Amino acid sequence: MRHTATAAEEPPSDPVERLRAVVAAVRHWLPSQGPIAVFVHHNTLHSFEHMPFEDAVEHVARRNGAQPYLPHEEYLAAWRAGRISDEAVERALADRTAREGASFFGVLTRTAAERHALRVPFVAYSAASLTWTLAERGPDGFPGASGGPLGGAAKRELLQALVDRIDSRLAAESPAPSLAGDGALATEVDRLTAQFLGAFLDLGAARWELPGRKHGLLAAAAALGLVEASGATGPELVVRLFEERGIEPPEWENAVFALLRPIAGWAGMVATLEEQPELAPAGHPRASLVELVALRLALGAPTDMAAPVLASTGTAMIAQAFGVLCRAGIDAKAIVGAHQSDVATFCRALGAFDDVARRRVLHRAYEETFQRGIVAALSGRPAVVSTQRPKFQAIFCLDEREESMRRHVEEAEPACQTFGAPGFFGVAVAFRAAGAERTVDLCPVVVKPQHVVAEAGSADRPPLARLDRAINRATRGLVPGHAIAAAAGLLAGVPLILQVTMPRAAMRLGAWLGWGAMRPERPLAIDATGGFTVAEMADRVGTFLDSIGIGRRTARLVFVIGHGSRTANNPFASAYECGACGGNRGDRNARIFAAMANDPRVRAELAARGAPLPDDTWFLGGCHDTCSDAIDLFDLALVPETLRRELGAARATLDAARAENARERTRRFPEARFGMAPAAALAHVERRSASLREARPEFGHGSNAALIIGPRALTRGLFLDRRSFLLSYDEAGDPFGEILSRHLGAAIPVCAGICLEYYFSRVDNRVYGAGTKLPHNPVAMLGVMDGAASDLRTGLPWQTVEIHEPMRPFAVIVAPRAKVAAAFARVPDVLGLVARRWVRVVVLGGHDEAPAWFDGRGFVTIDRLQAAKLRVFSRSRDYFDGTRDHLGPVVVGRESAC
Amino acid sequence: MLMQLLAGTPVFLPLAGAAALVVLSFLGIRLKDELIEGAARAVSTIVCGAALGLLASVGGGPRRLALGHLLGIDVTLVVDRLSAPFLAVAAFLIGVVGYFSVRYLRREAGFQRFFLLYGLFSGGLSLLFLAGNLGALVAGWEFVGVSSVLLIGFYAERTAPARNGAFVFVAYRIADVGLVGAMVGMHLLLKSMSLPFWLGPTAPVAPSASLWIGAALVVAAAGKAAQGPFVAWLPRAMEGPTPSSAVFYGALSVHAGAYLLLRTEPFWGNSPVIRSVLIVLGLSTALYATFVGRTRADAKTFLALAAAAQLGLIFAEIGAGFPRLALWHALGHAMMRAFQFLTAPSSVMYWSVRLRDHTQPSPVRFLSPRLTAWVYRRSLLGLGGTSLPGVPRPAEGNDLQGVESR
Repeated sequence: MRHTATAAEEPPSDPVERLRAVVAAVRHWLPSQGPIAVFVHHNTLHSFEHMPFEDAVEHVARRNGAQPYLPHEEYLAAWRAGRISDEAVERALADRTAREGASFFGVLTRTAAERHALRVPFVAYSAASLTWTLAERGPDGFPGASGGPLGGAAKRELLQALVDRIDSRLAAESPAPSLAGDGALATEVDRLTAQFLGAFLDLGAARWELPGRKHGLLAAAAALGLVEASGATGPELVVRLFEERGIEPPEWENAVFALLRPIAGWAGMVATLEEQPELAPAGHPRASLVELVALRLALGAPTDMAAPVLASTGTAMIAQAFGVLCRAGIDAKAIVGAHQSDVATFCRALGAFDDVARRRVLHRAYEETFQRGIVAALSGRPAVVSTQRPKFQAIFCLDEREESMRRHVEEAEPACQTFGAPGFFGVAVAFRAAGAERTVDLCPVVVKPQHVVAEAGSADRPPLARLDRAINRATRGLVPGHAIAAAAGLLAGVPLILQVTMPRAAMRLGAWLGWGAMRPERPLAIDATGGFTVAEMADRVGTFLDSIGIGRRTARLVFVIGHGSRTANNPFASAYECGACGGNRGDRNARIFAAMANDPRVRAELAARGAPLPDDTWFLGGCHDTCSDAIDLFDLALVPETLRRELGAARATLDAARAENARERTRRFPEARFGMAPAAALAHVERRSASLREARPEFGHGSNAALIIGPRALTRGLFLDRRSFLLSYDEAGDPFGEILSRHLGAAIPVCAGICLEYYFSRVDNRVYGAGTKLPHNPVAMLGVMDGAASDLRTGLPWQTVEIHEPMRPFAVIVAPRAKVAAAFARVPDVLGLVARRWVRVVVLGGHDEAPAWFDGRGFVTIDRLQAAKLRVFSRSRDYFDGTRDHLGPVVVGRESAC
Repeated sequence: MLMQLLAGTPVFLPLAGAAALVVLSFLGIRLKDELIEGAARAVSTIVCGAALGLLASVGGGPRRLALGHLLGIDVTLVVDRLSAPFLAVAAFLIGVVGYFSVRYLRREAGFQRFFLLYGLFSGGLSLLFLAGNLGALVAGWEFVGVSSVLLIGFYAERTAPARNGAFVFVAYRIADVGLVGAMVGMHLLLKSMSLPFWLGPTAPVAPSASLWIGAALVVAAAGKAAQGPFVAWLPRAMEGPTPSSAVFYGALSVHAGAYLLLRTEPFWGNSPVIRSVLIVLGLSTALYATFVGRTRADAKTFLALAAAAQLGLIFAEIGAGFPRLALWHALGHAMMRAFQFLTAPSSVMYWSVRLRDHTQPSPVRFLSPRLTAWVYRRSLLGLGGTSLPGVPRPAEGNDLQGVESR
């Protein structure tokens, strides 16, 4: 794994060692996404987590030509729409470090000037465009200048005064220069490198294997005659070529950056596979980043990048000053009468509060407006605790998409309980699917599973699916392709029109024919060699139930429901699956957990430990498809006869809930009309899941924004708009905060990885994201390109992040401050994320503690926070129907019985 | 009159739709997505119905339908056993892809532009297939070419689509030279531009005229069908949204080249030189595209090259005098390939369960390591496309000369 580098070390004297250090440093600038079939959400700027959030995003954006925050206009639109509150803006402005200079021109305080400047987006005017704008659009055509107390003539005078007084050659602060960054390959060398790497790293997409790739990157390139065979190792070759090109060691880092940046996606894949060879099958060729640097040098790629050009000069400053002064109502007389140094001071101050600084302030206000809304909603909640045994309990993943599912289950059956837990349910396993050669880790990526669970049976696909693939492969050959095309090619029109126009029927037909058969329930070897002992199973079950606050107060029926997402024509399918299962479906974990918890030996062991489960409790594994809203339940045949009736009733509840959930989801899809009947909504989402023509089968984690760690009693009946991860936790059962530590250590990295990946893919979809899905072309089973040749596009596509409001991860923890502090102290890595503001934390303490920000060092009570008086709706649908926008918290449902 | 209406609809209805969108776009009016969706679905359904009607009518023998005079030009459409099946498959695929695209491109900034080009392509292709004389065929051919190039450059804000669109444009222009040459040749040598019924009786053509006209037609057809040196444009056409790559270049547009040869066979058929050229060109393209395709790890280029290879075989079949086989081959291939292109985004999931059985060491390696290396080098260097006659290399591309000469 990678470690964060700090610069201050003495460079090694050995050139090869020095080169290694340089390459390791540049590696941090490359994506670390693995092969796309297992999409693991991670912080796009993971390598810069040792820096405070704002410093990191701005630093990386500057060098990458990316955006650190949303465009200024988007914040202004959010401000107008009420998604940024005036108070939050004031607080964010006040938080800026103390600055000198009380006022300008005797009337305008610095804070007032900055407040006005927030409404003045930066535009890089040249002298010509300044003149043109004035002539064509008038003074109101400048950003922020329309309206205000000044009249048209006064504005013209003011602008003239500024033109006279501000030196247009003055260099001002400017936004980061724009590099290509959109994956386009500018030169033939880049294209050659990209296509060579596609063939070299191929996991099995090409028909032929690149000859000689087993011997390494440079050897394979030499075998094709791309470079001369030298026999030198990568580092030796790089050092030699640097010498030949006259590049001195101090310039190495910039040179390596310039060599790799144009193919950053591919270079990142080389580095990721170098660091984590287990991501590729055994026998996959090994390559190192240094070798790639050598190849780039040998191919003659440039070692310098175009110097950043200052996009702005004094002319841009004139427009900025004009906008601010118009808003402040300061006219030309003040400027003409002012001393030249006053004007210069004003310009300097505006320059210091530059484009990025303004967006930083607005971004903080944007986040805080949302976050205070959540805290206000939570702090007014009565905690209802019932002593009745619930009809059933359902444990879902903490995934924010299950927030609505749980709410609808509770709405359909008030006498039930739901819980949220990391969707691997505490069973970290290396899973060997039937007939597979390799195991898959079904747990968060930060966990290394110690146990293997294997599925019995062989991996053979159903005969029709095998035939389908055999035909498909044959059509790509020359002679078989001819035979099939001429003899039966027209028959392809049948599946084509069926799948495009009737996706649900086509899917059912396929399932009936045994084509895309659902994964059958095969026996699992949980306690075989390498698997779990009875004591370990009892540990897992007991610990897990304690961690989410169920303890032993189980109902007769407990559903353990993982999740996944089935989509039809989507290279990013894995990104929609369960993050807590490492980008896989959570069905197997749910099934394993239920099997463990039902095992009589485990029950006996738990009883022997003095914490028995009720004898009449039965666990049932299941899987919720977040795209089609199907719920599969496993091992139904094993359910005791005595529970049949309860099971029937509970399944009816789940069915009603998933239909309502589908309905809530359809409100976001513009193709779905409002007010659909539940069955129609269900049909709609099933169609999305099965359809080839769906660029947005679902929105994935789009719009996720918060993580609430606390008892369900606090959030039950609260409409959270599928934006909050919900982790069940009851501090009463955790006297020393140890459970909380585990939660923080597991849930925060997973949720923060998701949230930050969405953040970066949304604020700059071009550089950090994968761009629009429509021209994507899967390559080498590793990822996607745009068209026939581009850089590997990492991150998330636009269609997934479209509705996302990019915000840092925000955790609300319901526990006394002292316990939270103690729990964080045991997970220093996570504490560091909080201290460096990558994660914002609010603590809702006990009765005598007011809600407080936790900044990694101490607690700061949230000032002027009032418990929200929330509107009440009897059912979620009464609230969500009729709008596609984000919705704030409200109370829904009858008073719960549990 | 009914037949005239049936034949005229697939040509003029989509073109009228495109023209309406041109006017609206010029006026700066942006229609609602739903409205465009409804219109596209209605038009493609009607076109499909008309195409099916025409297909059903060919049992009664071929027809030549005069639609009247357009500014003094005689507009005549031919419905026979060649044009009707081609039109039916095209209308079906265009309809399916239209239905696919109204959802797939939803909320994309260029939604209206896409359907403008879609209408242009659809009407143009119908005209190409139904044209009763070479002049009308050229008009359809140009509509198809222009809309194809603009769809490749759909994402004009990025550099690669613009560059590749320009590349395809040049390749198409070279092909157009051939077509214009054929038109001039027919006018001068045969004094007629009328296109005969397929496999029907025709007046004999002098061998010298066959050679001239045939040579020009081969250039035109090879350019459109990505044969010979033109093969380089096909992978570059994959820049647009998936559905347009799928139907326009992968499945339909390329087959227009084969259609042209089938339709004009009487004019070049008695030249053994042209027949030999077609066979050699087709077979060599088939082998080259197959070999290069097998080196490619990306789904769309792989499919594009597999398509070029099959078209090579179709060319060879036409040259060798098996037009009926070529017709079936072309139609089946268009249908099959369109389906594969549309599902290309899912290829990762489709193949991923058992990766190991898919990639094999290249058998050519045992024949000749040098041949393998050459194939890979051609593949990596863009199929030698930078050396298409008359197309300048990108300025930055010169730094690869060392690699190419090695």
